[in-house]
Amino acid sequence: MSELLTTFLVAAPAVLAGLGALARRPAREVAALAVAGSLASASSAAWLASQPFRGPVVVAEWLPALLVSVSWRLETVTLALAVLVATIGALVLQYAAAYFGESRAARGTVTLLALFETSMLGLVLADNLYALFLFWELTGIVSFFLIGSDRGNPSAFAAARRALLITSAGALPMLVGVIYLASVNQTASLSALLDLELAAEVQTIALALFLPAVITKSAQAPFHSWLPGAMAAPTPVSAYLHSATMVKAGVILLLYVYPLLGDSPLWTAVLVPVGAMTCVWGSYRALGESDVKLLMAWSTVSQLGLLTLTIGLGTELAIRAAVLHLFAHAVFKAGLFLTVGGIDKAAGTRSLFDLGGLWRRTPVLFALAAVLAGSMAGIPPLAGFLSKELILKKAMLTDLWVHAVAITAIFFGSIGTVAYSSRFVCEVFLGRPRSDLEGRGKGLGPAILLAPAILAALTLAVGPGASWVDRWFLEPVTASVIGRMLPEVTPLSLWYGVNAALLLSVAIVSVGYLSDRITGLRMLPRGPSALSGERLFDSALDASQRLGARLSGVLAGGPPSVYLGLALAAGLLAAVPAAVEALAGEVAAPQPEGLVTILVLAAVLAAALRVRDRLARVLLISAAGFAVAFLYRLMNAPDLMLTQLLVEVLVTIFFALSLRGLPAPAERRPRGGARWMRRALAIGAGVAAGSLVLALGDTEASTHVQDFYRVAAPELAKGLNVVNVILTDFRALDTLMETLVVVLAALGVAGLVRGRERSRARKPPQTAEAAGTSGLLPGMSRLILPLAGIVAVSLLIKGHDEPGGGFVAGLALSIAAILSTVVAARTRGSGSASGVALVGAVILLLSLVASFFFGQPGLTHAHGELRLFGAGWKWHTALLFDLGVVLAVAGGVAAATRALWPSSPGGAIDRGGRVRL
Amino acid sequence: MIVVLALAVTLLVAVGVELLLGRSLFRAILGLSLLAHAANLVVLAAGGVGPAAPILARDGVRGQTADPLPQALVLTAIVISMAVTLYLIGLLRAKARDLASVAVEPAPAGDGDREPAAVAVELGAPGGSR
Repeated sequence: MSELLTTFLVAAPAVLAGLGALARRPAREVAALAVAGSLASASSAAWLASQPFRGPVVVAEWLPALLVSVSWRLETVTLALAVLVATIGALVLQYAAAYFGESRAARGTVTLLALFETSMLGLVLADNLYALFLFWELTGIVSFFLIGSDRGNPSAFAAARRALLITSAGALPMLVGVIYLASVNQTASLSALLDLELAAEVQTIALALFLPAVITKSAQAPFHSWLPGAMAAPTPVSAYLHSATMVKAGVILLLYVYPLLGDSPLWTAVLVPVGAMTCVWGSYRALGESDVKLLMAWSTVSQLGLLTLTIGLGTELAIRAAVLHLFAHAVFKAGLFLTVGGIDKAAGTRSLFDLGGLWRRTPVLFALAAVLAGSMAGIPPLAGFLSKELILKKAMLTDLWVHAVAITAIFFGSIGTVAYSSRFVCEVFLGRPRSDLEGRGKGLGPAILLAPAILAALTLAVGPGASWVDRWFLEPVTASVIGRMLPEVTPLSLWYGVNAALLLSVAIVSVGYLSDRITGLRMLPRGPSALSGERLFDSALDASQRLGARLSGVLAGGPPSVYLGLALAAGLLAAVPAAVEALAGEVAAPQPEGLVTILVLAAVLAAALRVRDRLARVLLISAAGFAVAFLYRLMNAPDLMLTQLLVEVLVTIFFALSLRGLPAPAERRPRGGARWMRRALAIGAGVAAGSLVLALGDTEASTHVQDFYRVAAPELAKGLNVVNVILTDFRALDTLMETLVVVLAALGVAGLVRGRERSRARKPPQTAEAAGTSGLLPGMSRLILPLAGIVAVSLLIKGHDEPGGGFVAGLALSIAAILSTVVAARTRGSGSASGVALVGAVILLLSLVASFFFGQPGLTHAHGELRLFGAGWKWHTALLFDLGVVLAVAGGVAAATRALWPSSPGGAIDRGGRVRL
Repeated sequence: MIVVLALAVTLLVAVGVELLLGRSLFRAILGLSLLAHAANLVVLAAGGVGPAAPILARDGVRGQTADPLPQALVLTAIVISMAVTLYLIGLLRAKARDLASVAVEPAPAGDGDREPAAVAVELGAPGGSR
């Protein structure tokens, strides 16, 4: 029940707004739907908070093996935050409907706002840390679109990109932290983790991984620069995202993990200095802004710093102060942003240099701004006064260094806060208009004043109702954050009597107010400030892109030899230790015929590097292949030797054919340095590979696997050539796939060559007869195919028991086919060759399927013996399979050859009957 | 035997890499086929060396033989690398044609009397038709 209700309350705003947007309703109606959804969410969360149930509820297991689930954590603090998010969401969406009016882009913006509300609700309520991370990222992504919603404004896009890059870069370590916590503790549920006692180093590692996310998301120095830039978003968006919700996510995460990680020394050591710096710097920058919206943005930076600092103090009372200030700030800052939107509408400008005397035009707005800004400055009896009082009391409590840092930062930060608050109210609403505002802006309807009015009323009500707030809100929420009731704590109140905190408060307010009234706007810079984090970030981003372009220009822009060489060099470095070890070991003396083969191989390869003529080079390389075939023989692998020999013959013929008529390229010799580099790499690679082989050692053939095959081959497959049996029976699926690859490659060659040459107007291919060829060779060629056919059939049939088999037979047949093509210049029939290949492929596929009809797994073969002519004739269906291989290989290769063949102008046989290559 | 194999692999890899790192597709194809030989020999070497071919006697007497499984795998590899080589040769052919046909059209002044084919840029120079 409660899990469904929670899911509903998370989804309601986005679903309702999404339905409205899909139905293409105007923005006003979409916003109304979203408001209804938000109110439903807020009241559901409040109802759940009133129920006694506390704890996690699981909606669905998602990836149980990875501990990922969709689950909600129903605690007082999560529900209170959900109420806050949904309530302010409702107010902002109501305001947005009035603010955007009938603008065309507004529907998308409103829908995105509702989606953002849903992701924020998911973030505060998620129990599973992975789900929390997902919602965390979702808020960032939605905010990217919201900040950049002004399509025509490139600086808005740049700001959106900054925000997204900074916050998601911070979130990546958090994901690692989540994985770390989950794998160490075998649970990703926050509730379950909070019940555990973590070891000190686990706490520190997890916290170190979480802190970047907190610091970037909550705009802490030095990663705060995205937040003022995000003011490119429309005002309702800023009011929601950049005051009340998203920027609070970091602080909220800190509160959530406080009982888990708060004991780590890193907690105070990082959070207090970072928060103090942010608090003071934000205040200082706010004083230098003339745009009131940017003033509010910097003020938010400063207040977030204050929150981080307070949480960083790490005591339970500090947490209590932070909780109160978190809510108080969300209320007054959302209200202030909405007020800024109202000022913009009413006066048509947001610049302090133009504004003034606005109270005459909109007295209600003035009153609201005064209350909300007063709360920000900490004037009694407003909410901000209460929370700041708590913070001051806490910060002055002890005399550790952190408290000295904290109290100094709070003192100066708060003086700034008072000063810019008073500047905001006085310069905008009081005095005289600085420039002619007549005819600009318009009156404000009640719809635009409603939301700030409600927020101002809230901030007003807290002071008089302090004891009620303490009993029903602050005490239970704090207890649920720290995991136990706070004992013996002074109840929240407006008046604690005269004490140090009160005196400090008085000093802050009076110094701040006076300093602002005395200096006025005289110190305000008119241009943009020179030292800007945004510009720094943008130039860093540009530089990284330039660096990337340059790097890829070096690594991947040039010829393949460059990046192949680099990759190879890197691999070689890794191979050095293994190679050294292998070469240092002892080796047995090699056998003489092996050494002779090596000598032949070396001579042939050296010659291949030397010769200029390409045909000679092809022949030498194939001679190397023959040497390898002989090595196969020495390794007792007759099947491999046969196959290798035929493959070499075939490839050589193929090469020779395709070189005909090609222009001989002027082989550019590389420059000296590059050439030596290449040689060094080549030799290094060779030595590394050779020492790898040496490291394998003179091992005996392993008996484990081959014993199985040696027993199984004769008994199960009725074959004596184990290699062939493996190919046609045990691992027949491999063979099938491989044969299909051969067919595809061969047909691919045919298509590649023919497709291109057909498009060129060409002379029709000349046949040998047309060229007037005569002689012995063409006559003999008529015999080649039938003879080769006999050889192939014998290889095929013997293959099961002796060296041979489908591949070898297919290769022999295709060599014959090539020869007859060349010699007889038979140019027709490449179609029939590919037909043969396809028949072969079909036979293979049929033999795969056929066994299914006998209830056997694919490619099961049958065996038997036929009594005929008084003798027993073994038969087996593996032969049929091998026949498929023969046809596929021979047909494919023949088709490729015939496609290549007519491509040269002029015949291939000259008058003497010799083949012209 | 392992020393022989190690030497063969050393030679094949060294020359294969030397050919592969050149700028021409033609040399690269030759280099690749040498590297394929080397890889096949490594697989066989990993299977160990046996005293006889893995072909059983008809009467069922079974002596120790070489391991048939690496041989079957290498046989597959030989055929596959052949298919790849054939396809690369087809590419070489197709590319050469393209280059020749491109070079024919706007022959720069002074090159007019050269064979069109000779104008074709070196095969395999990446993107190098001009």
